Amino acid sequence: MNLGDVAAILEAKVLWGSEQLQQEVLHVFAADMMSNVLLLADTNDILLTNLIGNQVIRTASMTDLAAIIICGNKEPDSQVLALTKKLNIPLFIVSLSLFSCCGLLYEAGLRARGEQ
Amino acid sequence: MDFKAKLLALTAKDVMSTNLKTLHFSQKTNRAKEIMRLQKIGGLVVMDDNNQVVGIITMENLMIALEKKMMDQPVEKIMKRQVITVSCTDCLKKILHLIQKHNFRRLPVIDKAGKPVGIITSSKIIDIFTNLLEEENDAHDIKKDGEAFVVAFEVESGDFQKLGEASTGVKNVLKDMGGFPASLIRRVGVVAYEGETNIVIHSLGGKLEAKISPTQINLIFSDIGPGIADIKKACQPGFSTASEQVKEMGFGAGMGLYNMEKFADNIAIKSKLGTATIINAEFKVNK
Repeated sequence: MNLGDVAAILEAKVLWGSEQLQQEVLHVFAADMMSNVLLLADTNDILLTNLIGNQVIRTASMTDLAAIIICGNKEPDSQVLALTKKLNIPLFIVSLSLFSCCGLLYEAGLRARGEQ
Repeated sequence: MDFKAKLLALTAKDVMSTNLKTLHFSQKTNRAKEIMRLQKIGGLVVMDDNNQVVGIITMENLMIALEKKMMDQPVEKIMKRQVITVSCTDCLKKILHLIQKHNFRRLPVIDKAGKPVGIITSSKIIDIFTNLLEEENDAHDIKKDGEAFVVAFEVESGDFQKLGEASTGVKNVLKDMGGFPASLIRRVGVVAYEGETNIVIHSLGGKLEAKISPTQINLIFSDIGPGIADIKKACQPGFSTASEQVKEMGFGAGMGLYNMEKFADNIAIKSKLGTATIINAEFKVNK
Protein backbone atom coordinates (compact mmCIF):
# COMPACT_ATOMS: atom_id res chain seq x y z
CA MET A 1 0.00 0.00 0.00
CA ASN A 2 1.28 3.49 -0.77
CA LEU A 3 0.45 6.99 0.48
CA GLY A 4 -1.91 7.49 -2.47
CA ASP A 5 -3.91 4.38 -1.44
CA VAL A 6 -4.11 5.65 2.15
CA ALA A 7 -5.40 9.00 0.89
CA ALA A 8 -8.02 7.20 -1.22
CA ILE A 9 -9.19 4.95 1.63
CA LEU A 10 -9.62 7.89 3.99
CA GLU A 11 -10.97 10.19 1.25
CA ALA A 12 -8.26 12.59 2.34
CA LYS A 13 -7.47 16.00 0.93
CA VAL A 14 -3.76 16.13 0.10
CA LEU A 15 -2.50 19.53 1.27
CA TRP A 16 1.14 18.78 0.63
CA GLY A 17 3.11 15.88 -0.83
CA SER A 18 1.21 15.07 -4.02
CA GLU A 19 4.55 14.18 -5.57
CA GLN A 20 5.28 11.60 -2.87
CA LEU A 21 2.11 9.52 -3.12
CA GLN A 22 4.00 6.53 -4.49
CA GLN A 23 5.84 6.07 -1.20
CA GLU A 24 5.23 2.69 0.43
CA VAL A 25 3.38 2.66 3.77
CA LEU A 26 4.04 -0.15 6.24
CA HIS A 27 3.03 1.05 9.68
CA VAL A 28 0.64 3.47 11.30
CA PHE A 29 1.02 5.42 14.52
CA ALA A 30 -1.95 7.24 16.06
CA ALA A 31 -1.43 9.74 18.87
CA ASP A 32 -2.08 13.21 20.16
CA MET A 33 0.81 13.09 22.58
CA MET A 34 3.87 14.20 20.64
CA SER A 35 6.32 12.86 23.23
CA ASN A 36 4.81 9.44 22.60
CA VAL A 37 5.42 9.84 18.89
CA LEU A 38 9.03 10.85 19.55
CA LEU A 39 9.49 7.84 21.82
CA LEU A 40 7.74 5.12 19.85
CA ALA A 41 7.13 6.04 16.21
CA ASP A 42 9.79 5.05 13.74
CA THR A 43 11.11 6.15 10.36
CA ASN A 44 8.50 6.01 7.59
CA ASP A 45 5.50 5.42 9.88
CA ILE A 46 2.47 7.53 9.05
CA LEU A 47 0.98 9.57 11.88
CA LEU A 48 -2.76 9.92 12.50
CA THR A 49 -3.58 12.71 14.94
CA ASN A 50 -6.18 15.22 16.05
CA LEU A 51 -3.60 17.94 16.67
CA ILE A 52 -2.75 20.47 14.01
CA GLY A 53 -0.08 22.87 15.31
CA ASN A 54 3.51 23.51 14.25
CA GLN A 55 4.70 20.95 16.78
CA VAL A 56 3.05 18.06 14.95
CA ILE A 57 4.99 19.00 11.82
CA ARG A 58 8.23 19.42 13.80
CA THR A 59 7.73 16.07 15.54
CA ALA A 60 7.12 14.28 12.24
CA SER A 61 10.20 15.89 10.75
CA MET A 62 12.34 14.95 13.74
CA THR A 63 11.25 11.30 13.60
CA ASP A 64 11.45 11.08 9.77
CA LEU A 65 7.78 10.09 9.43
CA ALA A 66 6.32 9.42 5.98
CA ALA A 67 3.17 11.52 6.33
CA ILE A 68 0.85 13.32 8.74
CA ILE A 69 -2.89 12.74 8.59
CA ILE A 70 -5.02 15.21 10.52
CA CYS A 71 -8.37 13.67 11.43
CA GLY A 72 -11.67 15.26 12.40
CA ASN A 73 -12.20 17.84 9.68
CA LYS A 74 -9.68 20.52 10.62
CA GLU A 75 -7.83 22.98 8.38
CA PRO A 76 -4.29 24.03 9.30
CA ASP A 77 -3.44 27.73 9.23
CA SER A 78 -1.02 29.27 6.74
CA GLN A 79 1.88 29.14 9.18
CA VAL A 80 1.53 25.39 9.68
CA LEU A 81 1.26 24.91 5.91
CA ALA A 82 4.39 26.97 5.30
CA LEU A 83 6.34 24.83 7.79
CA THR A 84 5.01 21.63 6.19
CA LYS A 85 6.21 22.84 2.84
CA LYS A 86 9.60 23.88 4.18
CA LEU A 87 10.20 20.57 5.94
CA ASN A 88 8.57 18.75 3.00
CA ILE A 89 6.33 16.33 4.85
CA PRO A 90 3.18 15.02 3.16
CA LEU A 91 0.12 16.42 4.98
CA PHE A 92 -3.45 15.11 4.51
CA ILE A 93 -6.65 16.25 6.14
CA VAL A 94 -9.60 13.91 6.64
CA SER A 95 -13.14 14.66 7.76
CA LEU A 96 -13.53 11.28 9.54
CA SER A 97 -12.71 10.88 13.23
CA LEU A 98 -9.36 9.50 14.41
CA PHE A 99 -11.16 6.33 15.51
CA SER A 100 -12.71 5.72 12.08
CA CYS A 101 -9.45 6.46 10.26
CA CYS A 102 -7.65 3.88 12.39
CA GLY A 103 -10.46 1.38 11.76
CA LEU A 104 -10.41 1.82 8.00
CA LEU A 105 -6.62 1.49 7.74
CA TYR A 106 -6.65 -1.57 10.02
CA GLU A 107 -9.32 -3.15 7.84
CA ALA A 108 -7.19 -2.41 4.79
CA GLY A 109 -4.35 -4.42 6.33
CA LEU A 110 -2.12 -1.79 7.95
CA ARG A 111 -0.81 -2.42 11.46
CA ALA A 112 1.16 -0.74 14.20
CA ARG A 113 4.87 -1.40 14.10
CA GLY A 114 5.69 -4.73 15.79
CA GLU A 115 2.06 -5.94 15.84
CA GLN A 116 0.46 -8.56 13.61
CA MET B 1 27.85 23.06 1.50
CA ASP B 2 27.67 26.79 0.91
CA PHE B 3 24.96 28.49 -1.08
CA LYS B 4 26.89 28.64 -4.34
CA ALA B 5 27.99 25.02 -4.14
CA LYS B 6 24.40 23.98 -3.44
CA LEU B 7 23.22 25.84 -6.54
CA LEU B 8 25.93 24.38 -8.75
CA ALA B 9 25.13 20.87 -7.56
CA LEU B 10 21.49 21.07 -8.68
CA THR B 11 20.47 19.09 -11.77
CA ALA B 12 17.31 18.97 -13.86
CA LYS B 13 16.05 16.14 -11.67
CA ASP B 14 16.23 18.35 -8.55
CA VAL B 15 14.47 21.34 -10.06
CA MET B 16 11.79 19.67 -12.16
CA SER B 17 8.17 19.19 -11.24
CA THR B 18 7.00 15.60 -11.68
CA ASN B 19 3.43 16.81 -12.02
CA LEU B 20 3.70 16.46 -15.79
CA LYS B 21 0.63 16.16 -17.97
CA THR B 22 0.89 14.93 -21.54
CA LEU B 23 -1.52 14.31 -24.38
CA HIS B 24 -1.38 12.83 -27.86
CA PHE B 25 -1.08 15.17 -30.86
CA SER B 26 -4.44 13.96 -32.23
CA GLN B 27 -6.41 14.99 -29.14
CA LYS B 28 -8.66 18.03 -29.36
CA THR B 29 -7.55 21.45 -28.22
CA ASN B 30 -10.67 21.66 -26.03
CA ARG B 31 -9.38 18.64 -24.13
CA ALA B 32 -6.03 20.39 -23.55
CA LYS B 33 -7.85 23.41 -22.16
CA GLU B 34 -9.86 21.19 -19.79
CA ILE B 35 -6.77 19.40 -18.48
CA MET B 36 -4.96 22.68 -17.88
CA ARG B 37 -7.98 24.18 -16.13
CA LEU B 38 -8.62 21.15 -13.87
CA GLN B 39 -4.96 20.54 -13.04
CA LYS B 40 -4.28 24.27 -12.62
CA ILE B 41 -1.20 24.09 -14.82
CA GLY B 42 0.02 26.42 -17.53
CA GLY B 43 1.38 23.95 -20.07
CA LEU B 44 1.05 20.48 -21.54
CA VAL B 45 3.56 18.30 -23.35
CA VAL B 46 2.40 16.80 -26.66
CA MET B 47 3.50 13.27 -27.58
CA ASP B 48 3.58 11.11 -30.68
CA ASP B 49 2.83 7.38 -31.05
CA ASN B 50 6.35 6.47 -29.91
CA ASN B 51 6.11 8.40 -26.64
CA GLN B 52 8.43 11.12 -27.90
CA VAL B 53 7.91 14.83 -27.29
CA VAL B 54 6.72 16.62 -30.45
CA GLY B 55 5.36 19.87 -29.08
CA ILE B 56 4.10 21.90 -26.18
CA ILE B 57 0.83 23.69 -25.48
CA THR B 58 0.81 26.86 -23.41
CA MET B 59 -1.84 29.42 -22.47
CA GLU B 60 -0.65 31.51 -25.39
CA ASN B 61 -1.41 28.70 -27.87
CA LEU B 62 -4.86 28.29 -26.32
CA MET B 63 -5.63 32.00 -26.64
CA ILE B 64 -4.71 31.94 -30.32
CA ALA B 65 -6.82 28.80 -30.82
CA LEU B 66 -9.77 30.51 -29.14
CA GLU B 67 -9.38 33.59 -31.33
CA LYS B 68 -9.15 31.52 -34.51
CA LYS B 69 -12.01 29.26 -33.36
CA MET B 70 -9.81 26.16 -33.52
CA MET B 71 -10.77 24.62 -30.17
CA ASP B 72 -12.20 21.48 -31.82
CA GLN B 73 -9.05 20.96 -33.92
CA PRO B 74 -6.33 18.47 -32.89
CA VAL B 75 -3.62 20.01 -30.74
CA GLU B 76 -0.98 19.41 -33.42
CA LYS B 77 -2.53 22.29 -35.37
CA ILE B 78 -1.98 24.82 -32.60
CA MET B 79 0.94 23.48 -30.57
CA LYS B 80 4.37 25.01 -30.45
CA ARG B 81 6.73 22.68 -32.28
CA GLN B 82 10.02 24.11 -31.12
CA VAL B 83 10.56 22.36 -27.80
CA ILE B 84 13.79 22.32 -25.91
CA THR B 85 14.19 19.25 -23.75
CA VAL B 86 16.86 18.58 -21.15
CA SER B 87 18.06 15.35 -19.59
CA CYS B 88 17.79 14.50 -15.88
CA THR B 89 21.50 15.06 -15.30
CA ASP B 90 21.81 18.48 -16.97
CA CYS B 91 22.98 21.09 -14.48
CA LEU B 92 21.05 24.16 -13.36
CA LYS B 93 23.51 26.50 -15.06
CA LYS B 94 22.84 24.93 -18.46
CA ILE B 95 19.09 25.03 -17.84
CA LEU B 96 19.12 28.72 -16.90
CA HIS B 97 21.17 29.50 -20.02
CA LEU B 98 18.65 27.68 -22.21
CA ILE B 99 15.69 29.46 -20.62
CA GLN B 100 17.35 32.83 -21.07
CA LYS B 101 18.59 32.22 -24.60
CA HIS B 102 15.32 30.93 -26.04
CA ASN B 103 12.92 32.69 -23.70
CA PHE B 104 11.10 29.38 -23.13
CA ARG B 105 9.41 29.08 -19.77
CA ARG B 106 8.87 25.32 -19.89
CA LEU B 107 11.47 22.67 -20.56
CA PRO B 108 10.37 19.02 -20.54
CA VAL B 109 12.90 16.70 -18.88
CA ILE B 110 13.41 13.41 -20.72
CA ASP B 111 14.99 10.11 -19.72
CA LYS B 112 17.46 8.12 -21.84
CA ALA B 113 14.65 6.69 -23.97
CA GLY B 114 13.37 10.18 -24.73
CA LYS B 115 10.32 9.70 -22.55
CA PRO B 116 9.34 12.81 -20.53
CA VAL B 117 9.68 12.37 -16.75
CA GLY B 118 9.13 15.92 -15.55
CA ILE B 119 8.98 19.54 -16.53
CA ILE B 120 11.03 22.55 -15.52
CA THR B 121 9.05 25.74 -15.16
CA SER B 122 10.20 29.17 -14.14
CA SER B 123 7.90 29.14 -11.11
CA LYS B 124 9.42 25.88 -9.89
CA ILE B 125 12.90 27.39 -10.18
CA ILE B 126 11.74 30.41 -8.16
CA ASP B 127 10.47 27.98 -5.47
CA ILE B 128 13.82 26.22 -5.34
CA PHE B 129 15.74 29.49 -5.02
CA THR B 130 13.37 30.69 -2.29
CA ASN B 131 13.86 27.48 -0.32
CA LEU B 132 17.62 27.63 -0.67
CA LEU B 133 17.66 31.24 0.52
CA GLU B 134 15.55 30.28 3.53
CA GLU B 135 17.93 27.45 4.36
CA GLU B 136 20.74 29.97 4.10
CA ASN B 137 18.96 32.18 6.66
CA ASP B 138 18.66 29.21 9.01
CA ALA B 139 22.36 28.49 8.76
CA HIS B 140 24.40 29.15 11.89
CA ASP B 141 28.02 29.84 12.57
CA ILE B 142 30.03 26.73 13.16
CA LYS B 143 33.12 27.18 15.33
CA LYS B 144 36.02 24.83 15.67
CA ASP B 145 37.03 23.60 19.14
CA GLY B 146 39.98 21.21 18.87
CA GLU B 147 38.69 18.08 17.12
CA ALA B 148 35.07 19.15 17.50
CA PHE B 149 32.80 21.58 15.69
CA VAL B 150 30.51 23.62 17.90
CA VAL B 151 27.24 25.09 16.75
CA ALA B 152 24.95 27.08 19.06
CA PHE B 153 21.30 28.11 18.89
CA GLU B 154 19.44 30.52 21.16
CA VAL B 155 16.16 29.19 22.55
CA GLU B 156 13.58 31.69 23.74
CA SER B 157 11.26 31.11 26.66
CA GLY B 158 7.61 30.61 25.72
CA ASP B 159 8.16 30.98 21.97
CA PHE B 160 6.15 28.05 20.68
CA GLN B 161 6.17 29.36 17.10
CA LYS B 162 9.93 28.96 16.89
CA LEU B 163 10.07 25.78 18.97
CA GLY B 164 11.84 23.15 16.87
CA GLU B 165 14.10 25.52 14.91
CA ALA B 166 17.18 24.83 17.04
CA SER B 167 16.81 21.05 16.88
CA THR B 168 16.04 21.15 13.16
CA GLY B 169 19.20 23.24 12.84
CA VAL B 170 21.27 20.63 14.68
CA LYS B 171 19.80 17.86 12.55
CA ASN B 172 20.55 19.76 9.33
CA VAL B 173 24.14 20.44 10.39
CA LEU B 174 24.68 16.71 11.03
CA LYS B 175 23.12 15.82 7.68
CA ASP B 176 25.23 18.40 5.84
CA MET B 177 28.44 17.25 7.49
CA GLY B 178 27.81 13.74 6.21
CA GLY B 179 29.16 10.47 7.54
CA PHE B 180 26.73 10.07 10.46
CA PRO B 181 24.24 7.18 10.27
CA ALA B 182 20.60 8.22 9.76
CA SER B 183 19.52 6.40 12.93
CA LEU B 184 22.02 8.39 15.01
CA ILE B 185 20.93 11.69 13.44
CA ARG B 186 17.36 10.77 14.29
CA ARG B 187 18.20 10.02 17.95
CA VAL B 188 20.14 13.28 18.28
CA GLY B 189 17.20 15.12 16.67
CA VAL B 190 14.66 13.68 19.09
CA VAL B 191 16.80 14.49 22.16
CA ALA B 192 17.49 18.00 20.81
CA TYR B 193 13.78 18.55 20.27
CA GLU B 194 12.74 17.30 23.74
CA GLY B 195 15.45 19.41 25.37
CA GLU B 196 14.53 22.48 23.34
CA THR B 197 10.89 21.96 24.30
CA ASN B 198 11.84 21.87 27.99
CA ILE B 199 13.72 25.16 27.68
CA VAL B 200 10.76 26.83 25.92
CA ILE B 201 8.21 25.47 28.42
CA HIS B 202 9.99 25.74 31.75
CA SER B 203 12.87 28.22 31.63
CA LEU B 204 13.36 31.95 31.18
CA GLY B 205 15.46 31.25 28.09
CA GLY B 206 18.61 29.41 27.21
CA LYS B 207 20.60 27.82 24.46
CA LEU B 208 21.32 24.55 22.75
CA GLU B 209 24.91 23.81 21.82
CA ALA B 210 25.93 20.85 19.70
CA LYS B 211 29.55 19.67 19.93
CA ILE B 212 30.26 17.42 17.02
CA SER B 213 33.38 15.30 16.64
CA PRO B 214 33.95 12.22 14.47
CA THR B 215 33.58 9.91 17.48
CA GLN B 216 31.11 11.70 19.73
CA ILE B 217 28.25 14.19 19.68
CA ASN B 218 27.27 16.21 22.74
CA LEU B 219 24.12 18.28 23.08
CA ILE B 220 24.41 20.85 25.84
CA PHE B 221 21.19 22.47 26.96
CA SER B 222 21.67 25.37 29.33
CA ASP B 223 19.01 27.67 30.67
CA ILE B 224 18.34 30.18 33.37
CA GLY B 225 15.13 29.54 35.23
CA PRO B 226 13.52 27.70 38.10
CA GLY B 227 15.84 24.69 38.03
CA ILE B 228 14.68 21.16 38.79
CA ALA B 229 13.67 20.46 42.39
CA ASP B 230 14.00 16.68 42.27
CA ILE B 231 15.96 15.40 39.26
CA LYS B 232 15.17 11.74 39.93
CA LYS B 233 11.47 12.46 40.10
CA ALA B 234 11.61 14.66 36.99
CA CYS B 235 13.05 11.78 34.97
CA GLN B 236 10.21 9.42 35.86
CA PRO B 237 7.82 8.92 32.95
CA GLY B 238 4.57 10.75 33.56
CA PHE B 239 5.89 13.32 36.03
CA SER B 240 5.05 16.77 34.72
CA THR B 241 4.78 20.35 35.95
CA ALA B 242 3.68 21.74 32.57
CA SER B 243 0.63 23.96 32.02
CA GLU B 244 -2.63 23.03 30.28
CA GLN B 245 -1.64 25.17 27.28
CA VAL B 246 1.47 23.08 26.81
CA LYS B 247 -0.51 19.85 27.16
CA GLU B 248 -2.87 20.96 24.38
CA MET B 249 0.11 21.05 22.02
CA GLY B 250 0.89 17.41 22.69
CA PHE B 251 3.62 17.97 25.25
CA GLY B 252 3.88 18.21 29.01
CA ALA B 253 3.01 14.57 29.50
CA GLY B 254 6.11 14.04 31.59
CA MET B 255 8.01 12.15 28.93
CA GLY B 256 10.65 14.72 28.01
CA LEU B 257 13.58 13.84 30.26
CA TYR B 258 12.65 10.15 30.12
CA ASN B 259 12.81 10.23 26.30
CA MET B 260 16.12 12.10 26.40
CA GLU B 261 17.62 9.47 28.70
CA LYS B 262 16.31 6.72 26.47
CA PHE B 263 17.72 8.07 23.22
CA ALA B 264 21.07 9.44 24.40
CA ASP B 265 23.94 7.15 25.37
CA ASN B 266 24.56 9.13 28.50
CA ILE B 267 22.91 12.07 30.21
CA ALA B 268 24.21 14.39 32.92
CA ILE B 269 21.81 16.81 34.58
CA LYS B 270 22.98 19.62 36.82
CA SER B 271 20.49 22.01 38.31
CA LYS B 272 20.46 24.72 40.93
CA LEU B 273 17.03 25.55 42.24
CA GLY B 274 15.85 29.01 41.25
CA THR B 275 18.92 29.59 39.12
CA ALA B 276 19.76 27.37 36.17
CA THR B 277 19.83 23.91 34.60
CA ILE B 278 22.48 22.33 32.40
CA ILE B 279 21.88 19.03 30.64
CA ASN B 280 24.63 17.30 28.70
CA ALA B 281 23.46 14.51 26.40
CA GLU B 282 26.15 12.34 24.92
CA PHE B 283 26.06 10.14 21.81
CA LYS B 284 28.81 7.77 20.69
CA VAL B 285 29.27 7.80 16.95
CA ASN B 286 30.73 4.33 16.35
CA LYS B 287 28.08 2.23 17.99
